[in-house]
Amino acid sequence: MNMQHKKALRRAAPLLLAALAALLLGAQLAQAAVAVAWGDKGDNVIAVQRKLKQWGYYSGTVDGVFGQATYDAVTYFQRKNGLKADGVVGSTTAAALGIQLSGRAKASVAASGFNDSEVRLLARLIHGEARGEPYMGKVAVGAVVLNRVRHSSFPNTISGVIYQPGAFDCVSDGQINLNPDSESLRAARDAMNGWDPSGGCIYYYNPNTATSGWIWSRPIRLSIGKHNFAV
Amino acid sequence: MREGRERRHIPSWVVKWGIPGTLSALLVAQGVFSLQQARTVQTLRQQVATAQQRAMLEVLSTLSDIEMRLSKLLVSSGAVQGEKLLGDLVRQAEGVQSNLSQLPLRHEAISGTMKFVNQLGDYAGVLSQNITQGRPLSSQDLQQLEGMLANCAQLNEQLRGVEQDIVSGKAIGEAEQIFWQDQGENPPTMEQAAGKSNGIDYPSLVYDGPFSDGKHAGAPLALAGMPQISVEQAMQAAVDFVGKERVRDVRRGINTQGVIPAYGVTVETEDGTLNVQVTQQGGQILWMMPESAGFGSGLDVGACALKAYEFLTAKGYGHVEPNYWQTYDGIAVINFATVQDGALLYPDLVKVQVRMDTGAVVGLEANNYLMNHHARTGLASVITKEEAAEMVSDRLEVDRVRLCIIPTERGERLCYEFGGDWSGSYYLVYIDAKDKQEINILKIIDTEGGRMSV
Repeated sequence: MNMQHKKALRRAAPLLLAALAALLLGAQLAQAAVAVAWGDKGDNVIAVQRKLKQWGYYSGTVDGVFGQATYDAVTYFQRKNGLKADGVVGSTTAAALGIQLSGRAKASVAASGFNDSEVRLLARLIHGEARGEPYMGKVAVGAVVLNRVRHSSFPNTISGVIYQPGAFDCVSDGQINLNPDSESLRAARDAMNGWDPSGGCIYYYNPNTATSGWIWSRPIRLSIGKHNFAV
Repeated sequence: MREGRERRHIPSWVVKWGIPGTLSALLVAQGVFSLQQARTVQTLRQQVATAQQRAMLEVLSTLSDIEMRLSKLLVSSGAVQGEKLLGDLVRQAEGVQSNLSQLPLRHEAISGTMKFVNQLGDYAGVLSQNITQGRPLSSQDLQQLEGMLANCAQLNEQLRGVEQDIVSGKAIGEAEQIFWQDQGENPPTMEQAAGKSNGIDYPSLVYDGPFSDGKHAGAPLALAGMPQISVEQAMQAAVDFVGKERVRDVRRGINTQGVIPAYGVTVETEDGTLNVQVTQQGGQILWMMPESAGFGSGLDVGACALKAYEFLTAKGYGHVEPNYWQTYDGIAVINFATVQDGALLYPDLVKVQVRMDTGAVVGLEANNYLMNHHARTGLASVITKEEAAEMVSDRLEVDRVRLCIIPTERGERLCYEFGGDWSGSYYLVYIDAKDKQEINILKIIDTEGGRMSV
């Protein structure tokens, strides 16, 4: 890490920590636990500050606002006690402080997601269509399905696109009902998270087995493994 | 064989009648079985045919309803009727789309009709929204609607012949035969169903919606003014991005085209094979993904987010903030939005994949960032936080407010983001910082595998 980078990191540190705190709180929330970190306010912070002050780690005022001084005190306490010095009062640090954290963690921002059954359906399609293909080719098949959902000439849902009669061989021959492996599941999630190795393609076919004359007239954008991807 | 020689004599009547008898019995059983099979097949075929007939008839009747409503819309002058008709059109277009996609017809045959109804529904939705916001149909809108009415009438004319076949009991097998067999580069389309047409030339339709023909992905803003690079430079860029110390080998990968053309570079590292795409303009990273994953655990999401943050900062992505995340297959995917003057820029997204055992960055997705990232002007809000707060529902227990830019169909909007709790769930409400409109509401979903919004 060079000096300039260090400086930039230090400048951004408060905002980063606030954001990370929110993120961490989210992670904790999922495990039905609460944590206190930078940017937090309230009773939990007061309890943390009071304890730290009693034990001589904290010299600021007990104001219920988790700022730089509290952060320093928490990391100081964590280092001294052999805990991970991350400045976050989670369940371990709270236990070491001898306090109980109460209440619900604050939530943070999110972007859109797909539901679990859609993930599994897409993973089954990828497994049925692109088993044995390079990983990039699997994600590309998933991306083609999602590009179709967004395209006006195709159905508007994932299941609509996948089950469109004749659209995918693995639906016609039942291979879509096979259990997807972990790689197909990851490929489905990567595709849903925006990775698109096809670069916006809406068709793919295996040139060795394709039976439609029409598909050959589509401009090919790239080939991955056994598949040609086209628009 | 002893046993063979000692075998008792088989009575002659068994030889005479038994064997033929058994064979005939088997034949009869086989016949009965085949008959049952044939019945089952017949029943299944009938079920499928009935479902297809239903779908086809629904397409036909809904399309003629759409024609009727389009014509009413063109003579309507009031907002109430207009909105009602447009709302009906949205639903009916959705119905046609859904039924159309169940027909056993090739994509080539129905794609034109599909596009027509998708655009119609999309366009009607936008117009309905306009009316709600006090903007009546413009003359351009009316002109486009007139065109759509003409197309719809033509389409219905073509399909009328098919309808009679279906009603008279003929399955759509005949249509299926026409539309299903391979007919080379110019297969027949649904618009030629009655066989006496050259199809329909749908005019291109321009409006503010996702299916609009006027909607073209613009040039990537983050690459504006950058020079074209060579494949050698791209390979160097990939090595620099991954980090020289991690790279064991580098070779050319598969290039991608699309809105942002990129060179493919395959990099062998201690974390396995990484596929990297480097933009041909500017040499930026479009995306990177590991060939294999299934990594171990050890780091929590916060620690992974910090690794991702340090990586992005070191690679010059400027000021970014993490927001949502997901974990799968030993990878944490952390989503970052950029920040300018304290405002979150949601269109400028970067996603980073971090190994949950070592914290090494193995993947990245920057398409949105490259398409949208630029210095924004006009980040000053017109209304105050307090004025915006008036628009937020009283039900929401707001605990934070933030200025941000969010992407919408009509471009970017500067908004106040209100985060708050209602009935045990967390919501984000976006209020336009200029005209106080409620632009969007997101509900936060927390699961073990991640945090998302719907």
